[in-house]
Amino acid sequence: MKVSPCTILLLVGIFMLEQLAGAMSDFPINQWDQRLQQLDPARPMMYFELAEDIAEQAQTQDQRDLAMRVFGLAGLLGDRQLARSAALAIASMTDRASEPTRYRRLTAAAALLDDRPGRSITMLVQPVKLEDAHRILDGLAAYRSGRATSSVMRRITQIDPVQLSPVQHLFPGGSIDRFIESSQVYRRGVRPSMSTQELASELRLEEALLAGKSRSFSTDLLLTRNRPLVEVDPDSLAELFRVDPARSTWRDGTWQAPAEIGNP
Amino acid sequence: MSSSWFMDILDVRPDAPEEQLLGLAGSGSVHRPRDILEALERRLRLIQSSKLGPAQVESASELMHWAAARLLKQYQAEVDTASATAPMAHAPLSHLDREVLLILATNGGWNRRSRTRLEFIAQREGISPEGLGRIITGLSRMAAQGGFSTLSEQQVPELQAMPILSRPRKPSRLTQLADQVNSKLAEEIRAETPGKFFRVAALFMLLGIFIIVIFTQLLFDKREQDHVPPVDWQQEASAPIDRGEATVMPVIPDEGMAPEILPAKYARPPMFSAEPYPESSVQASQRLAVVLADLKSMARKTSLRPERFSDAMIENWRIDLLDSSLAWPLAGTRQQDAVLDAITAVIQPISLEDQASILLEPLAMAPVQVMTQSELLRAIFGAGVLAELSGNNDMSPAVKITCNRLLKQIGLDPSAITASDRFGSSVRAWLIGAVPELLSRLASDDQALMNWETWLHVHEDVVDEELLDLDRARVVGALLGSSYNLSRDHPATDLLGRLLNEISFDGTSSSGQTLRDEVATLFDDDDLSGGALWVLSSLLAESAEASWFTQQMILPDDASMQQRQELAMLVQQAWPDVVELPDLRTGIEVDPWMYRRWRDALDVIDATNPALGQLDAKMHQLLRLSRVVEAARYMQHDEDELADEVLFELETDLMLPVGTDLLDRPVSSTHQVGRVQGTDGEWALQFEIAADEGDMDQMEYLLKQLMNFSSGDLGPQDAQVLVEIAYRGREQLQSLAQSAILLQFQGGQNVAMALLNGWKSARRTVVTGDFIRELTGESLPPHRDSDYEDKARLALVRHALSLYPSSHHVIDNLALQLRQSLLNRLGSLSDGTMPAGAGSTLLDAIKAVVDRSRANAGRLFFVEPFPAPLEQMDQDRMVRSGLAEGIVQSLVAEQASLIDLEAYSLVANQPQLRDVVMELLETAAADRADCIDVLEQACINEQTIARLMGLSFQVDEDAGSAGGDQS
Repeated sequence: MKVSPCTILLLVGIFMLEQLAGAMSDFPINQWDQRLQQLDPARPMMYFELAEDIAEQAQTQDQRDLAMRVFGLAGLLGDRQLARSAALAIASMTDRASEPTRYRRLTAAAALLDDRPGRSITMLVQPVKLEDAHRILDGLAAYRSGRATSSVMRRITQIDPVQLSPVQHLFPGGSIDRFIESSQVYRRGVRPSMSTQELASELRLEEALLAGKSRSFSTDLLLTRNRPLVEVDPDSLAELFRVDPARSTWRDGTWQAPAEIGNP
Repeated sequence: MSSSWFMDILDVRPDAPEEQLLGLAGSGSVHRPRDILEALERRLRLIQSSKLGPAQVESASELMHWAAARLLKQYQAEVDTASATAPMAHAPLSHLDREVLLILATNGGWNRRSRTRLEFIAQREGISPEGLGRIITGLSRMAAQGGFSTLSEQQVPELQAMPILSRPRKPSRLTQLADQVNSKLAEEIRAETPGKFFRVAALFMLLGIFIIVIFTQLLFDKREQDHVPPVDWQQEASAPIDRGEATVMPVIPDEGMAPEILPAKYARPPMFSAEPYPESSVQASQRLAVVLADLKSMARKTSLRPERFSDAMIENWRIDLLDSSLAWPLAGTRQQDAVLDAITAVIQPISLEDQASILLEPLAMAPVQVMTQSELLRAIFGAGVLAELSGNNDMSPAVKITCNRLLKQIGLDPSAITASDRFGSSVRAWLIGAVPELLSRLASDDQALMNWETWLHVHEDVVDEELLDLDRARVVGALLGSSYNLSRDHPATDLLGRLLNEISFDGTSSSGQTLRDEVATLFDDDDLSGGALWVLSSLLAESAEASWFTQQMILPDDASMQQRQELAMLVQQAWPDVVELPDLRTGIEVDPWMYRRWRDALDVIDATNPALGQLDAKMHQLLRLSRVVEAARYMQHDEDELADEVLFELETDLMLPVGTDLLDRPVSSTHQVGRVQGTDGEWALQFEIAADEGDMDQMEYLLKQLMNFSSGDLGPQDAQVLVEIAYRGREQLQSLAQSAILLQFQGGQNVAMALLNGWKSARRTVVTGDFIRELTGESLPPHRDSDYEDKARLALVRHALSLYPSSHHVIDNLALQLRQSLLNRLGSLSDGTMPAGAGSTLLDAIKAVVDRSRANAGRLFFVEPFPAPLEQMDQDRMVRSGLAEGIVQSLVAEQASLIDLEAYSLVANQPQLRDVVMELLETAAADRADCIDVLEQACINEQTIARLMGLSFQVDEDAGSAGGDQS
């Protein structure tokens, strides 16, 4: 078999790339080893700050996993506030598409750990503030009557999109943006032609906005999209963070219990 | 009344005295109720079998009833008088006097033996030594004066009556002997011979002097008094006890330290059992449907002619009442309600007292009139019905007055009858009132124990669970306070044994601490004799139910008050903690057939697995599971009739495909959905032209024209114009427009949407508010209230939604039924009492169920709480509810707490199930975590609750069942 110099050069190139990739995979250990070894369980904030740095520079899943682990240790070693921050940080690094339940459990735990007044997780008694609900209801009535003037619709667009997120999916067209866009046609008495299902869906949205906790069972299912209850115990964060708090010290490339150090 | 035919049949004139009318011998004497009633029955049979016409039969029967009633009243009056004046009117000496005399006479005057016996009597009767001394002195003085008539009641200390039950005092054997001695003494005293008279007088003078001397010594020699050996039931019933050896230390529970007092011994354990209801009850229950039809027909007649009843009707009424009373205990709740409703319907139109009396008097029977089981049932039923009618606001004043009069006549206080359950409360009062009479019959009446069997059964059926054991304990008190010698085999002793067997002494009684206090008070009650308490403590020490009552706690029959009080305190301390379920180790016994049906229903539901996204089907499955739990709850609480009803409905439902709406009402709407006819906008155009021209007549005409529309809806443009007039038009036009909408377009989708779309521009007036209220059927706040606008708008949204049929309506209807099922479960958990506000929403209902279960769990004793301490469960519940994002998720969160509480109760009562329960809980938690659908989670939870409840069942395999979940 005849091997050309080009082929040899190609093989050498591939070999070097593999070595480079191998070096990259050792990134967490190599780059952060020194700071990892300096971590002290008595100073949980050090863990959090290091986790933030790792997360900021992470490019691979291993790197993200390392960041989440260090965040988790920070949360478990620190107070409730640090635990809440850790839960939010880990949630932000979780793939919502592949692990939606974990994401929801982490955000729920964060909410439960929040001791400040007016924490965000409560039953969706009033999914949207009443003032904003009135704007939406006026907009929907105007839309159906063929009077969707820009001033009416603008009042809706002025609402904080985050506020609207619990009810986005109930708007005609499936989102607030599509609703606003389509409303431009229905002015000066031109009414939208809506199917019975579309009208019923709109009415459910109105009921959800107005009825509070007295809303019907079916409207509640529509509003929450039949999502399951996520259970989380804020006193059992280790399982949620997937971290063993006993092994909080980095030595010789592994996480060890402080007592084990020096006693191999 | 013509007397010839009457005399032909009965051989007596109609105006003859009552005794002769009834064919009773001895004119002017007092007859026993049993004789009177038997005579009445004989006479009625004779009249019925004669060839008289119906009117004559009726007339003669009426006269016989009247005569019987008169004689019964005479008897009652005689009994009342006798009880009020007995010592003075009928006997020169009281029972106590006779006993004292007898003891002195039969023991040869005052000596150690007679002193011991007198001591016992004084103790039994609660008389101080001074009091006894006064009696003896009085007796000797009377003897010296040559007679006993000067002995007054004041010389005999009053015997205290029981707080609730007065005690019948039948003469004891001793008293009967005393009577004999007394009569002999009286003969001596009455004798004409001076020699005889002086002999007796001299005897009593000697006795008197002797007694006074000795008694004075007795009073000052307390040490000797404390060592007086009693002579009493214990001696009569068993071998004599050597008092010198048996130093009394009754209330030391340590078996190693306390000497045992010999318990009362019987040839067989005191107990009785009989058929609870007479054969006639079974026959009457078979006729109940006919009775109901008859009563309904009678109700029609009284409503048409309330002032006049035919004789035949009155006779039928009496027969129907008799049948109803006999069938009552065997009838189901629905049948009982139907009978009561039918009787109420007959009485309701009556407005005259005379008429009311004719119909209601057969219901009034005093305890003294009762001899047989049938009569007992009749009297009980009558008391219940009278109370029910007297509290019914639909009844006329005449009926209420008559009912109250009759209730008083049978010894009940109408004002003391509980409003919430007038029937039950009145029956209980009657039963309690009848205790002295029924106890007094135990000595002589063969029927007495059968009546007590009926008493116990009716009492258990009617009286609230909390009061059952309490009442039984009070009957025990009355029995102990009676003059029966309970240390011997006797019907009274059998009744005592039965009552003690019925009462739950193991802490599971629903009467709870009140029962404990009641039982403890018996030992502390100075009205009860030492002998009676010795018997009571002996029987309790033998009882398996009262395992905490040891042999060392048997009181000697001469126990001092201090010893009794110590035992009372010990009973308080030793009484077991109240636990919720009846058995600590075994499951709840359920009917095998019922259990099989329940298990089958659960299996069928388990096998059904609606596809994801089929929300209505999933909701239906959730409802079915809740109904399974509901049935199980009824089975746990021994409410088999309700369980049967739920299982029957469930079995019917399981034959339908999942997702079928179970409500009879239309799924879509309460209104007929309208259709649009004609060209949209034409009417609106005509109206606008008329408005432009200011033509009011034309505008009014056009609006009135809409009233004739039969289509039920308008096109969108016409609807919009009509709604604008209804919201903002001139007064006259607005009124017409609103009327048109209410009359013709209540089911119109376009009109409904126009009403919603135009709401923002509507005038906020009273008129508009009333219009929305009438249109939607929802209650709204006044139009000036801050939340009026939102509430009215929501009402319009819901009105419009109701016109758009969808699967969501099915879900909402199923949710309504789920709420009802939860309320039923709550009712069963709370013994029928419903917490305020529990039923307003589904979420309120499940929260109330969890709250009630938590309260019940709090009463359980648990050494090692499982799955967690209750406080931890409270914390978990709070966390879960904080995580729930909506109503359905909140439902799931509450269910999860309910699972924990169910597991807690189950393991508290059956610790051996801990591992199985743990496995169930872990599986449920894991399955719930894997769910991507909240309704699926709710179903898993409900299924877990049902399985936990299934574990609590114990099925008797011998009865042919497949066995309970734990077997």
